[in-house]
Amino acid sequence: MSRADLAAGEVIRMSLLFRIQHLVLTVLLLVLAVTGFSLMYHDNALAQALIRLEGGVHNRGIIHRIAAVLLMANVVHHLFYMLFSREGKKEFLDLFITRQDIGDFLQSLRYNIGLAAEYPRFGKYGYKEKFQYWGASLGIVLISITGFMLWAEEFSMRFFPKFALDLAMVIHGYQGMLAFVILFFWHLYNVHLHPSVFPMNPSWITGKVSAEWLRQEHPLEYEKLKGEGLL
Amino acid sequence: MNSRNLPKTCGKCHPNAGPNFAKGAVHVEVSPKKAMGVFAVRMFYTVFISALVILFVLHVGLELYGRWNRRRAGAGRGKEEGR
Repeated sequence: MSRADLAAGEVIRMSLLFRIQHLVLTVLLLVLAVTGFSLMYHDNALAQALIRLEGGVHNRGIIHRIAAVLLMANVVHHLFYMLFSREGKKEFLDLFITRQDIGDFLQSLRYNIGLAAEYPRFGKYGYKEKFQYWGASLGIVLISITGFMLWAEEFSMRFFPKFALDLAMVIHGYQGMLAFVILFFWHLYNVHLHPSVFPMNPSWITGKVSAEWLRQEHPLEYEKLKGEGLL
Repeated sequence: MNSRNLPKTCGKCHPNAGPNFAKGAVHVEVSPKKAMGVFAVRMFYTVFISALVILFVLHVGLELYGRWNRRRAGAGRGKEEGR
């Protein structure tokens, strides 16, 4: 954190590398959603228009697979970074789900119906961020495995019964829908529409949040930085 | 339909369809009798995704209700609360 940031009352929340990984993820998920859902709902007129826009059935498949490979490369890079880099290891520990998160979640419910006096005090990541992160991680693993099975259809059919491929197809499609629902109803609300950040939390672009926001929304992280002399 | 022509016939809509492509029933109409597994997975996802949407909306609603409620109480006491 630079002196200028501190003077301006700002704290780095997302490093440049994480911002790049996040932006790549955002773009690729959008491409995969448009090319994927247009196939899933191919009877729909809008889907058919999209398939034409994507250059027909064949080219749609190529775009979808290129985006998928890039997404998996992004995920593998992220995994290695989280496991082996100094910054990543620290983030990984911050993202671990603990019993405290369940308690925090229940306390936030009680607080909002007026049964608890205090809102839970989160560290760098609260239950909302952790749910998002692990939900997305699990979803990407499942959608990648089933996607590979469908991509290498001829190969898969030699080892699996047709039944397994049918299941893979259903899981792949619905898993995409699940990801879309979580992004739409959970992530967009938390980082754009939530009253504390509306119209958006700027950290995905600038990497920074205001120290005051951190103090209110993630007080344990705020106190930790303060204790380390970083604030 | 001649099974030897399958790659060609299926290939109209499924590029790269090979000899193994239509090894089992295709374009299955999903019913518990015909494809129990697929039916069960679809059922599971439909229920799970619907439940998740409802819970998300409830969670967001509850959070906004809480803020509104505290703001109202705060205004009554002549001060605004932090959250």
